[in-house]
Amino acid sequence: MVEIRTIFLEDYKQLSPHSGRKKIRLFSAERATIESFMSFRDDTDWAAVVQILPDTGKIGTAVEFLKSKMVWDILVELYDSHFSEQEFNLFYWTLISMYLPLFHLMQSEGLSADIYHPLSTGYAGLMSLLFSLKYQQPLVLTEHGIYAREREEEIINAEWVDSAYKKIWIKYFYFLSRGVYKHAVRTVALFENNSRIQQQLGLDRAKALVIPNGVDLNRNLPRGRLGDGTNIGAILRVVPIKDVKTLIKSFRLVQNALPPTKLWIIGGVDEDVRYFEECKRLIEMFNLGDKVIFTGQVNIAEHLLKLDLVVLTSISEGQPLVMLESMAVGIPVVATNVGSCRELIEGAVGDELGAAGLVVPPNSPDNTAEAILRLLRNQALREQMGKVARQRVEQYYSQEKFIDNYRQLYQDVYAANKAGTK
Amino acid sequence: MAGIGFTLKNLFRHDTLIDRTKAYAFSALVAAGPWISAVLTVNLFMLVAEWYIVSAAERFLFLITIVYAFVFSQILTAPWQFIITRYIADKLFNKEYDYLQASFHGISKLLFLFSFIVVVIFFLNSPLPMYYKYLAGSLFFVLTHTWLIMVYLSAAKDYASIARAFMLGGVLSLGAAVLLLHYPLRFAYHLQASNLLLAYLMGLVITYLLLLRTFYITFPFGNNLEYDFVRYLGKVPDLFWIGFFYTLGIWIDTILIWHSPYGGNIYETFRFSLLYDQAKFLAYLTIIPTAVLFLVYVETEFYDKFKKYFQAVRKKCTLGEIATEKGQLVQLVYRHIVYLLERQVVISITVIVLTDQIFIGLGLSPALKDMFRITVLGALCNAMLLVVILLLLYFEARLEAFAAAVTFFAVNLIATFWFLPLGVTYFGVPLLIAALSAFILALQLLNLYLRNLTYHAFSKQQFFLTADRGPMPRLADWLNAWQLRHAAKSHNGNGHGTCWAAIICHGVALFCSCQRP
Repeated sequence: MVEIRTIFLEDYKQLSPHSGRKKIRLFSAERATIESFMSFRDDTDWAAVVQILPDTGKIGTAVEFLKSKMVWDILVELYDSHFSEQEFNLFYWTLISMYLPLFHLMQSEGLSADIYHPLSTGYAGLMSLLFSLKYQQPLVLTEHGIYAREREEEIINAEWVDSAYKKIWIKYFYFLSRGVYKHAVRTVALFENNSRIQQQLGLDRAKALVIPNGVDLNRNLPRGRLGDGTNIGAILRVVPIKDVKTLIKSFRLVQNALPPTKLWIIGGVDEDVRYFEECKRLIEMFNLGDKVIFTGQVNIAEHLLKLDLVVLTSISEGQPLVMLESMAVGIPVVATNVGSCRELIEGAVGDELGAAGLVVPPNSPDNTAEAILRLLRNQALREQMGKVARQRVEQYYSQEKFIDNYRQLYQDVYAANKAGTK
Repeated sequence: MAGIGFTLKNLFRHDTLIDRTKAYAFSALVAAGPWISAVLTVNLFMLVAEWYIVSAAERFLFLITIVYAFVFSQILTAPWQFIITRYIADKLFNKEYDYLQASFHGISKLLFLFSFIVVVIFFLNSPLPMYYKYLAGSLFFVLTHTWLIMVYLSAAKDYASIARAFMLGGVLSLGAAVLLLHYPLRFAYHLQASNLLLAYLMGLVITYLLLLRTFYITFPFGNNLEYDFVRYLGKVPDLFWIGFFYTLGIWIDTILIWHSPYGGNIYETFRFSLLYDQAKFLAYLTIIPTAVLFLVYVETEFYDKFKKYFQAVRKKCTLGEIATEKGQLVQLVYRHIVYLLERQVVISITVIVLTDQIFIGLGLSPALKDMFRITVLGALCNAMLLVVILLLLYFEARLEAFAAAVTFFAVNLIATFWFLPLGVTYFGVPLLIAALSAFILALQLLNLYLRNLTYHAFSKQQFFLTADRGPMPRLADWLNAWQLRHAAKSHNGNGHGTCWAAIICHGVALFCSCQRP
């Protein structure tokens, strides 16, 4: 570990907001590059962009540049072509708010390295792309979730974005993603489906790679039979995307059938206070107050031991580490059919180990309750599935394997770069 | 001219002849009140002095003291006037009325200090008697503060009491002059000039006190942050320099002539130029109409269109709609400039044509005639230059305004050096060239700026809010803290107390210095 540097998106606020307007003098080719960049066109020449935007001598600070006549003219062109019926004031400030952090980031102090490895596209990818082009070193991308997709979903549902501007916000994030896809020598997804989506979004198939997550098998304690068939666990943050309400509704049905059962919700409750309150009210309404326990943020390992099964009712997931860690300890999982959950439970192509749990549709309390009850009523099934779970993690999702994969990747990339090939 | 628009608009709303006359009178008052009052009073003093057979030398000493006090108090306060006008406008807009009284206290103290320093330096090596220096210095001091308070009172509604203040002061000073010429105080030297000066000073002090009273009635509440306005030196420093260079631009040729072989020197203190000073003084009277008209138009019709444009910029308008508003606004601007130019040209040409008659009527020396004509043209250009500079400032085109002001100063400076060896016939020419070229430059800059007005309107806005940074805000905070530590309990009492203290000090000092043999 050589250095940890933190770059904040709001760092641009350190600049003077009043800076005098710089007279920008750029060649027409350079202007065209900037125009392409500001329009978020996918055919933008990023290498050319990196020659211009970071150069404070040439264009001033982000604030100075955005206040220049050249940028104004570009903005007006953009307005006339796509937003001419919109209120100009809102247009101007919406776009400035998009460009300000972006341009300032492009002027970040350099960080030299042999390989740049962002763990998402978006701004992390942007920084890596910037430095990769600046120092002429390779870029390797790993995506846990598909960043641009996630932003798209968020924006579509967001109330704070005027509907006329949702399209350009979404375009912006896809623009950043495709920029990284274009320049990465290898792009890693956690599972095949995500890799396919990346390719759909523009990733060159030849660069695509799948390296799943891995968990530390040795860290986990040996499984003693401490569970007595009445403890269900959910390891999550209490936020809407985890769909805790479906979980609670399912648990009610389970509770009716098997009164002694308890539901342990293990994880932070502070992230979305309003949602947490709604969940609590739901629990009260069903009279489950003493059967549902919120542990808050705790050491998971201690609680895992007493659980008979783990439930994941998320409406969106990637490759949840929570599932891997539960499976590593031999706990079967009931999960919704999102992300790579099915792959983890039933095995990928070529994996004949069997089922490590049960897959259910999202937002479906009936199906979820049925699956949970099936496992709770059948100890042999639980043990069988738990064994499969452990085996699967040992074989495919171990930390050693994970580290080996990446080590190999880095070596390959480094060697190829040295040799001048890609 | 911060709040004056409201008053004017109210007057125009009724639109009867009387109200319109009142409106113009008010504008005349605010724009040129001190000047008109000074000219009238001084001329009346001269008449009175002649009547009482005051010697020419004494009359001259008195006159030159007045001129110096006026000119240099203008130069000292002009930069601050620009800054304070902006400060007042912002505070009025934000409805933070208590800052007006507070800043008045702060800037008064600051200017007290500066004017004191200036007076000491000026009179350091002067052989004039101590009491005369004291009177002259007090005159300078009072004038400085009068200019300052007028900036604040332009936001006041009570124009009647402003008018009364000047009239009363003028009448009182004349009365005092008559009285003192009958029963002069026994000054050892320069008896007549000193008495005249004392009379004039008393009138001015009364005027100032009356204005002060109006001030406290208009702004009854203050706060402790008396030096808050110092921030604006950091926020809009160019305003300060625009005021500085513009004012210096008007006077630099006069100052250089004073120090040239053409200039005279009395009592090793005052330099002068008999002919040019008079010519200039008279010539500048001819541009008072423009000042008045500009004020009226800008503060009413122009301001409405201006506000409409900026509302379009801020609210729910498309770029096309904004462009339409802008077009109308720009048209209005040029129409006004042309209108003012026409009016002023008519007046100036009339004056030039009637110069002979005017001179005979006022009993002036014919040697002045040509100089006067040139200077009238110079004053015309100067007036138009000021109009354009103020318009540029309205649009926040501060860099452009600064360029015009500096050009004015620089050209006048260089041209004076160039033309001085060519003799008396060319007096006034540098000013004319400077004002004309600066006016043309300012127009070009205005044109360019207005073409891109919408761009400027947006890019001049602050991108994000931050706390004030920089040396000036820190200085402001330090001064405020220092002042708070030494502040008296009551805020209102502070101002009044200082006033009365000053008056009593004056009286005592005067009395004491009189007693010298």
